[in-house]
Amino acid sequence: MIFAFLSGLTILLIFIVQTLFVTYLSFRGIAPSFLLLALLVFSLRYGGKYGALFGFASGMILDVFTSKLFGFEAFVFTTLGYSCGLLNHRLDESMIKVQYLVSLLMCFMYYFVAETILNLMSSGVSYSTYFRAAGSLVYTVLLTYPLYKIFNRMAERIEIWSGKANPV
Amino acid sequence: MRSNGFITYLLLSALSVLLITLDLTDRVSALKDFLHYVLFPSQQIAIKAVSETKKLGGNLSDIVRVFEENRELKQRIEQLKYFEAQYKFLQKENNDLRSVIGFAKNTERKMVPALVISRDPSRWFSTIIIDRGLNDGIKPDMPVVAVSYKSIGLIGRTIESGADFSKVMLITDPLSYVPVKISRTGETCIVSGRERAELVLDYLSPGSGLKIGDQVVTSGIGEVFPGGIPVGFIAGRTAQGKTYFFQAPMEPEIKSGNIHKVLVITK
Repeated sequence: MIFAFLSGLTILLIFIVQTLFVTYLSFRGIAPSFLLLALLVFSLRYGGKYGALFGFASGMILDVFTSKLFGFEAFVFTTLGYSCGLLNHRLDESMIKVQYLVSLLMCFMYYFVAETILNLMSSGVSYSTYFRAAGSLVYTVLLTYPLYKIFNRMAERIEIWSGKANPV
Repeated sequence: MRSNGFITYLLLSALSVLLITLDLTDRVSALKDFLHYVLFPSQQIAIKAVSETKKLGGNLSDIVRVFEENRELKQRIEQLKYFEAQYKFLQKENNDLRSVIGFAKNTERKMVPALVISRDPSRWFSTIIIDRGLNDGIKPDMPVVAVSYKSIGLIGRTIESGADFSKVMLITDPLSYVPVKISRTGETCIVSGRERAELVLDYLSPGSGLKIGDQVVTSGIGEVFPGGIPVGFIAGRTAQGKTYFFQAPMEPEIKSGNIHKVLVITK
């Protein structure tokens, strides 16, 4: 219960940090997504079920504050969280190339596949959207290593505070 | 264990799809309002904390800069006082003449200042969330302008309002269409967004004689945008679109990255 509460708080914290600093980090609409990288770290660490729950909660927050189609981000993040969680214990997530590879896959799914579906549902697909999506993908992937370390440390802290960590 | 995870995923996905399909119903709106009510204070506190920290960060060079800026602005205020007096005189004259020919009087605009509290990186040119809502008299379909260092310009319209927040659709959103006119020639046309920093001026008649740098303002046609609000400048040559009409690229008056504080025109 404490673990779930602290996870929720973490999502909110990351979202607030993203909102506060995204204006300073963006260039012509190209900006990184901290929540996506947090989802990657937490689902790789705790598996599919946790990934789906973490993804749903993060997606809902994005939906409430930003999305045009309420529920869409929740669906995309849930799917990404669950899919990424399936790789738990199958890959060595401490390896940097694994982190980058999974991050690249997730970003591609988020920025290209999900964006195409959303655009087809609303205004139609435009090339400028893909240019921006490609930029954001590169930006987010480049930040994978430092942010992975930070979010991983946060996950360790949450485990300690909630009493889930191994006492040894 | 894996099937347990799959069931959770299926349930949450089904719930998300349900929310998408029921987006505009009262129950989902109530859920949105509830989530805003719960999550909004934390974001407001964070924004206040950051702005307070920025205030503390002022140093001597800032004080010198502010002093010089203050002197310049005082001179500007004196100039503007003269223009204001002239404007009031002309407005009165305009209203008198309008009443003579039977037109409705121009009413003075009322603006509510607001702060941008949220912007999604993946929807950068589509929507922003501001910290004022129904409690401040803001309703859907109200024009929103922003002030940058030297200019004021239209940035979008409100599309959704909660008690203490509003969602603004930017003019760069592909679903946005704004009736405008060219200040120099008076020709009316439509500005639309393309999900990028530039705008597109559409429905220009052939041989309209546009020049790069021509200012574009709202035409006042329609019920959302009052006339005369700067929207942007012509940024390139005109070219024939898919129809009889021509199109021209446009640079918005307020750059997308400069939208921090906005004003909602409520009247």
